Amino acid sequence: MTLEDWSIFCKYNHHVRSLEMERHYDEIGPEIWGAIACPPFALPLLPNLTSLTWNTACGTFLCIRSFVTQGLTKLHINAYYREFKFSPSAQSTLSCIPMLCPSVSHFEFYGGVESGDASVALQCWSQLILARTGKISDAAILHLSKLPSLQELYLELPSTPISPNTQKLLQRPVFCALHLLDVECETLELLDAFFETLSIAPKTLSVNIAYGVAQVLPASISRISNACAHSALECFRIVVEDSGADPDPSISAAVLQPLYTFRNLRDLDFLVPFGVRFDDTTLLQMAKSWPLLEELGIRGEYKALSSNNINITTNALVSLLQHCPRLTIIAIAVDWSTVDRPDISPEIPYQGFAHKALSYANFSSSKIRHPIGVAAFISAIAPSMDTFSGWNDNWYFDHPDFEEYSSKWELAKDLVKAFSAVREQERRMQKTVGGDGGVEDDCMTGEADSPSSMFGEEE
Amino acid sequence: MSVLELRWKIFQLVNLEFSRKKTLLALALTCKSFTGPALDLLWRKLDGLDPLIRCLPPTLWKLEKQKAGLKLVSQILAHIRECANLLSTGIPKGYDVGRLVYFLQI
Repeated sequence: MTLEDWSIFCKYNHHVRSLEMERHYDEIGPEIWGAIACPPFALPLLPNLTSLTWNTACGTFLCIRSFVTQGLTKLHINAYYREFKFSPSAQSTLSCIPMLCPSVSHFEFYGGVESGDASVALQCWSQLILARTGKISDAAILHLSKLPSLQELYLELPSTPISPNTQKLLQRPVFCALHLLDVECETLELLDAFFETLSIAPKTLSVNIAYGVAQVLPASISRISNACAHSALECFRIVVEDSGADPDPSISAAVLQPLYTFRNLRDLDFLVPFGVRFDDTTLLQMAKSWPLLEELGIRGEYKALSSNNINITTNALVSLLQHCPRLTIIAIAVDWSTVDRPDISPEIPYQGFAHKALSYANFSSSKIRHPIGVAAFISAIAPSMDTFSGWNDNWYFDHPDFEEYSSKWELAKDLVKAFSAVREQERRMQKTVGGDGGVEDDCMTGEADSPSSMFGEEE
Repeated sequence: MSVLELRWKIFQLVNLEFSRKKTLLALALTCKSFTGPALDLLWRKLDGLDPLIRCLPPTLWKLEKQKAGLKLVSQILAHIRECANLLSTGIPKGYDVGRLVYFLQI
């Protein structure tokens, strides 16, 4: 590139504020990287850049130095590709980046195995508002815990438990401004060690554990409950991905009892690879404890328990809706036997109770025989239901009964839509009748008595 | 349109349109006072470096059909050495330094 060429480049480079090397990472050949790394002026190449997304899959991580600026506030590095391993020079670059961009307030590092350690870099930034760390050291966790500006933390715990010294230091007031905490870890033991002495007040807490044993989980939930301010928490999500060699992979939904004191809870999502024993009493306690609930998901491994263990009756489901008027999403298995009939009951369910907010439901492994009866019931108690599913193909496709139950739920879904449309027609008809009266009244009444006459047919 | 803040707000509205690039380019070519803010918005966010590379003379890069990506042709490699020499020896008199300084903003 001649100086004339560079002059063209510099006509435009100072306009660029945000660069995302995400989608087009494979479009720039190595020759270009080599050429632009040597500009005839002082770096950075884009002097006014404030936001940078860098993808290590392009194999040019060292070039990131040419782009980071003193004014950079958002830095996002994707290093999770398996084929990419951080070389010592790449690790060194990662650790030194804060010297070139000291103003970063939003740092996101998506790491994987052998994809670098952001611990050193993180400890150099003092005004972080958001941090996504990858796996980091105790020292980096301690540094983050002291930041007065940190509001959102996506943390991956180290593979060894937090040391007693670190636990001691975390006893002090820490994470003072934090309103979102997302923790990933390999085992429940690592999680327990982290929450052991912590005292925090996030609005949103999300916990993801790679391997968890059902017997240990209750103590972990209790520890989390003790660590969080009861009035602050609004959203709690706990996911255990794998039960490993757990000999008894089943658990009661009552393990969530320590959370009943979180009166402001809006969203609860509990997803575990165990069979979940869930009954009306537990659901009712939840409904009474969390009146502001908007989303509730209690899901387990369907293979671990037979359908006989689905003990949530339609009575309890309606009680839940009555206690939680804001509920819009539920994901629980229900025993539909009381309404699972081949016809539509002439009785109005629950004296006409209708929950206006519920719009999405996942009834997971609930089995039904007669879609029409179940659909009529759902349509009556949740007339705003927009989408619902049962035996979703992502989860149950390899079950021998998948075809039978998924097709019945599909039919139930279509029927609820049809019932809703007919109900709307009925409403309009009544409006028309009530509004105009007179001739139309007579006309409607007369025609309704004789369906064939509506189409001009002679009897 | 002589009120800078007002002009910026109007241009930002243009920036939300589906055909934002065409409109902003048209604005940039309308008059000198429009050029700066229109180019600022046009170039503000890049999904990759290729728009900048494509502004360079077409002899410096080519599109690879298989990868649908950009690749430099051999000429650019020859110039890398030249640039490296300039950095170590200074800019020779033959270059239009004034214009360069203007464009490079140094």
